[in-house]
Amino acid sequence: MRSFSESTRQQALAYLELYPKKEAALLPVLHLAQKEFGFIDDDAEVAVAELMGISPISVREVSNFYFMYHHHPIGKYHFQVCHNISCSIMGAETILGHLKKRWGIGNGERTADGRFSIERVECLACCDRGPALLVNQTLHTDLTPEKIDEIIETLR
Amino acid sequence: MLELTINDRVVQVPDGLNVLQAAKHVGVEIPHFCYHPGLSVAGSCRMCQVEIEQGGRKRIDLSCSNAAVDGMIVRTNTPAVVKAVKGVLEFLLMNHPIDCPICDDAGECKLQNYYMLHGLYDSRLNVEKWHKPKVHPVGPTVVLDCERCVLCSRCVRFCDEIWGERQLGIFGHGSNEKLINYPGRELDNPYSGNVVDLCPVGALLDKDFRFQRRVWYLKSVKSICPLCSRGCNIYLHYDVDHDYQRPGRRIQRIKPRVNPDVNRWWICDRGRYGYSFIDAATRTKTPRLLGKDADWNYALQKAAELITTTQKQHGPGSISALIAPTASNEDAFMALRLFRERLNIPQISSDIPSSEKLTADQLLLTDDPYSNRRGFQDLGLGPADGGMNAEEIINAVKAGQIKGLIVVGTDLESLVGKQVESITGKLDWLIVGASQENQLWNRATVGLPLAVYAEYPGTFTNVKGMVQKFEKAVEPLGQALPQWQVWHKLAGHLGADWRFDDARAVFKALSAGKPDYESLNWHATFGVDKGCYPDNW
Ligand code: SF4
Ligand code: SF4
Ligand code: FES
Repeated sequence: MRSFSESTRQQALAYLELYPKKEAALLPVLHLAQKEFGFIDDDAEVAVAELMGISPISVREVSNFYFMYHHHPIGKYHFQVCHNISCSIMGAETILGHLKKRWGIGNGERTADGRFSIERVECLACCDRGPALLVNQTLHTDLTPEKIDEIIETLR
Repeated sequence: MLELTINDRVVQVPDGLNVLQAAKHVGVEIPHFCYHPGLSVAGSCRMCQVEIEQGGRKRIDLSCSNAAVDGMIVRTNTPAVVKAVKGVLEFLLMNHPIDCPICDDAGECKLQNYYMLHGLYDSRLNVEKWHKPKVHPVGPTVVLDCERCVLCSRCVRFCDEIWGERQLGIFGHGSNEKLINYPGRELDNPYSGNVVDLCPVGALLDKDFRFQRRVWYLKSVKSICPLCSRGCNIYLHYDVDHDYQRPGRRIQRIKPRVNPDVNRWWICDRGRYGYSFIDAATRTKTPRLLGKDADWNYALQKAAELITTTQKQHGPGSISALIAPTASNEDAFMALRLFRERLNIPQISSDIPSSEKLTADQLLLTDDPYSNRRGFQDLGLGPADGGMNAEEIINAVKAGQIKGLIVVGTDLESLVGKQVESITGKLDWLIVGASQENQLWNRATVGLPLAVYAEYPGTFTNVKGMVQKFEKAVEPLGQALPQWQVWHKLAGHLGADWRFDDARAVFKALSAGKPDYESLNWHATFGVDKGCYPDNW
């Protein structure tokens, strides 16, 4: 069972006040939960459901729909690789393949030391500079395997 | 009323309909998956697109979520509409497993029907389809095939809006999106079977109908559920010609029949799945005399002799009858005519406690497992009609005041438990009418095998006083007879000359002077349906 810290709770309740229907606050509340717990697992869904007074099924329907919510612990550095059309044309699969090979993990997985994780995501709005990738909140564009290695070096 | 143009036809429809309903009202079917009149509008499947022209402007829009408006021009068959619908269909079929040959829904599947209507193309997909759980036990009564699901959310909305508890959800994203139960929860509400009717494809199927019959072999009659006093309107689907699966199973399934005043589109699982008694091995099939098979004439002759002798020796009050209000109005009428009017038996009771305790719920189920208590009451066999109740009659038997007892449709367990000797020991004779062998059957002096509701036409009066007719699906098993016919014949053996040719004649006699009964048009609801499921939305 997970529970929110008091400050997060207050923040979430404040979100609920902003909308005519409480369900509308689900996205921001899920983001809060993700920030607090690191990822959204079953328990986090239940905690959100209880806090909002809605069914955990409704929470899961939403949290499962958006790739921005993680359902497993992610790495300290979370690599989100765009695989939409432009990036795919420009070699997104090569970028993904490079990361997978380098760390020996698959999409949605995390390295054993907990430092890195990979996720294939939808459009990052950089179609003109693909392939593109988000490392946590930092955007990297026009990627090549070499450029990726350089980025990873800086993260040591 | 409002006036609109549908496919170049000017039509009038009632107010308050959406375009899809308005079109259906005038016989134009618009393909749809997610829309159902009993549920909220989801507008998610995009299958119901039509061209709507208003104020000189045309658009392609959803017919389920646009109200029909005066002066609207609707076209369901323009090239643009057909193209849009085809496109939706192609997406839905993209990852569909197309396992129609082994799918119970084949023949009544919307996806299949719409493919025949609009598809008829080869798949353009040249990569492996997505795979999802198949044969997933989503609950105790229903099995789920996630690959067949078209994500219309009807089942989700049913649990949510009609039963009032979320049990199913649609999880995931894109091609991997799937409808399934939430981990740790099941589709186990007491109305779960309705999702099978609602599911437009073969994703949710009845476990108890799985691989039993191809649906096009089913015949259907209109009937009334006999399992509580609500009297939900149902179809009995039966087939006696293809019994390779479970020989002896004649009734294949029960489906709700729409009645806005009783059950709307729904029935409970008790009613839906509780039909096995009809074809049970424990059915009584032959009249019995002192524990041995006998023929009807002989058994009834004996019964008549017992009744006459006892009444002569000990007076009319030495006999009593207990008749469970599960029987039809015709049955009750004939019983009363014989026992009360002809034989002057003073103590006749239908006020028999049920051994089964029901708890009413918020939807349909009542707390009364007897289907026709109200009808018995209307005919003068209710608890308030004077005389002793069942318990008092049993006490009178135990006290030796009653010498002969007629018991119909109950095994008396709720009154005497398993201590049948406590009454049989005190009686000169016991006449038992039953459709199932029970603890009284083999101890009866005379045993009368009775047909069940699926085997003869008749009427029940539900808890609200509505007189409703049920039709005959199959023949009575063995030599069993409808209860009213048994009393009719017995009356003959007792010297009466009654001429009731059929249930309708009995109904006519019993409804005389009762407006609620007289207003029922006996023929209006009659007839065997070939198509298996006419209320399919
Ligand atoms: S299982 Fe059937 S009713 Fe439920 S969402 Fe899928 S297609 Fe619709
Ligand atoms: S609510 Fe009663 S009448 Fe209706 S289906 Fe259930 S048992 Fe039958
Ligand atoms: S029926 Fe209109 S969108 Fe599904």
